[in-house]
Amino acid sequence: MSKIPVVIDCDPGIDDSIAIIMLVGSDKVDIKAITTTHGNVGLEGTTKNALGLREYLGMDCLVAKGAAKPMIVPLKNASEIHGANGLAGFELPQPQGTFEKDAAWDVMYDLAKKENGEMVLVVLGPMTNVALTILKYPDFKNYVKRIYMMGGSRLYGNHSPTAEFNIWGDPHACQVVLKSGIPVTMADLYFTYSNSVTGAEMKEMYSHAKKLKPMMDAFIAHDMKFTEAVGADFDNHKITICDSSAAAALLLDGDCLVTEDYYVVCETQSGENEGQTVFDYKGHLKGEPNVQLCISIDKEKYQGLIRDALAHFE
Amino acid sequence: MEKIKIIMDVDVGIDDAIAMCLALGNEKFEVLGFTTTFGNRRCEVTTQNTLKILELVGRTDIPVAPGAVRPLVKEYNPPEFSIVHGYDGLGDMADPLPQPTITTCGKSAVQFMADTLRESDEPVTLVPVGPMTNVATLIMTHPELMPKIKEVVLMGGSTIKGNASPVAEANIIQDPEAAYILFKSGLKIKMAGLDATWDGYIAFDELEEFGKANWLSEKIYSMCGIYAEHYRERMKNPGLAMHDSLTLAWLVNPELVQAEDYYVTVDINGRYTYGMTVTDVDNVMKYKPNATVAMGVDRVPFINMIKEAIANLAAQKK
Repeated sequence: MSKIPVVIDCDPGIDDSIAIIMLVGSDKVDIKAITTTHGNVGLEGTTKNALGLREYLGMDCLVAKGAAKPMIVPLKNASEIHGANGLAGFELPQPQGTFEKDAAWDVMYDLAKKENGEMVLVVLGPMTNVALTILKYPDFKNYVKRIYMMGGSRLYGNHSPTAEFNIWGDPHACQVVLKSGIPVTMADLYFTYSNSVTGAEMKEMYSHAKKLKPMMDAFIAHDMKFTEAVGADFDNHKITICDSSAAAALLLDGDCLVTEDYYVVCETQSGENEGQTVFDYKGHLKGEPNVQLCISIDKEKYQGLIRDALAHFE
Repeated sequence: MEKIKIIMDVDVGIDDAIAMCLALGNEKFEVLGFTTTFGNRRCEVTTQNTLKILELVGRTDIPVAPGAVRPLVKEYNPPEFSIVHGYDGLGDMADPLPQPTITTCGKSAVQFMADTLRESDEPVTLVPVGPMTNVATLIMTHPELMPKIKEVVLMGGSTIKGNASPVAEANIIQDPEAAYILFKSGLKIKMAGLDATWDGYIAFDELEEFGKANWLSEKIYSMCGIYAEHYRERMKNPGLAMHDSLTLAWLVNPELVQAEDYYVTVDINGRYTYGMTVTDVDNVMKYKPNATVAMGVDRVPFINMIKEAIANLAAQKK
């Protein structure tokens, strides 16, 4: 079976790193490029991390730099969650290579055009880069088979009462993507919650790391600090590795992934609800479904993907 | 004579067609290309219309690049019929312009703008006279080329009264988010909005006279039927506003336009004022002005400039 050509658009990021590891460790996908965006930390940081990860994981793919800021809303970040460098303070090796001369949108477009409509995008941060590719190249939508994204929420938010962080980071970009006609598989906040692992499970999964052990140790230590801060017991505490759910959705699609179809729009005009992904549960808006919402995957298979991927790096 | 290098972003459109003639018929301009957008009609139609006009005036050497088919973010539900421009965007003439034999240049509008800016030795003036979608996309995807943009001279907006809502002008309300990005960009902006363009009209009796001047003015006259009716019957205007042309006339002769520097932003959240170019005329917000806003125009020399350009073009191609 031929491998699925993939571009990973991301803002690494601890959970981005896990998602990338899962994709590199799978024989189902062929990663053509990592494109970077503002998000968890600034663009310079996420690009440095992407280059470092490519080196550390021995990847053979392009790295292209994308948007430094959202389309319209002010720039935000989540360095309080990911550490100042975005990777829990873990220092990746100094990369040999550098990023492409062309910007993320040009690289994404050129790659997608070459793949005869088979290209899949895995989007793990604010959706600015994908939106700008759609806007700059009106025919881009015809070349993308599907977007697997981490972002949005069917219910409550995590960075505002109703908005999830990635979408809140650039609501307008999300709306551009949802309106584009490209099929979207959405690993929303509640799907990622449903895949939460306990600290004990995390330790077990990450114990399979060989070469990547130092990074996994840093990630666990980082999560332990957070758990301690809320006075919880790490082994029994539930931890959500958000972006890993989008990678799992792609890798387990056609296997155990359960989805439901919805018409989804993103609120861009409300102060309070900016960035809310509005699910038209009852058909008020009369739109054709544009999103497959991820409902569930098999827990063992999900954790197995992470375990096997970590063991893959010798 | 030093020429003004422009890229015109159009949604042709009757007043766009006339503005194209002004750009091509006035020797002050070097037109590097036309980019197209949805607006007066769907982008497929405005692109065809742009090609038709170039073929009509014999300037098929000028590249045309098709652009935005919908606004950046907002819903797009174009009407089947434009009460100002007709079904075909060019006034549904009894003897319509033939389908163009030339085609677009093979690049998207934003690609064309970016490549042209990059390759130009000197900064280029952008003249968007439709929704600002293409320009906003250029701003977002090519921050490195901003120094190559001399200025943006746009048709759109209004400091107070609208034509597409009580407070919003049609080009801006069709893509408020795009206009918002443009006004926030830091680029040098001249805004030719309704404050001035309403007054830049060709009077109904002048139109009759103009229609007999040459073969091209005859053609434009027959294009203007529905446009004239709109201004006579619905707008109760003394003539046909030449909205899009004011951008160019302002570039040729700044004296024609009474202008003020203001801080302008675009409302992208309002229920009633969505798409309004909010203009801080009394500097209440104490922000530094980001736009020069046309507040009035000397009508007669403005209209004469259009007529002369059309006569020039007509003489160049019999």
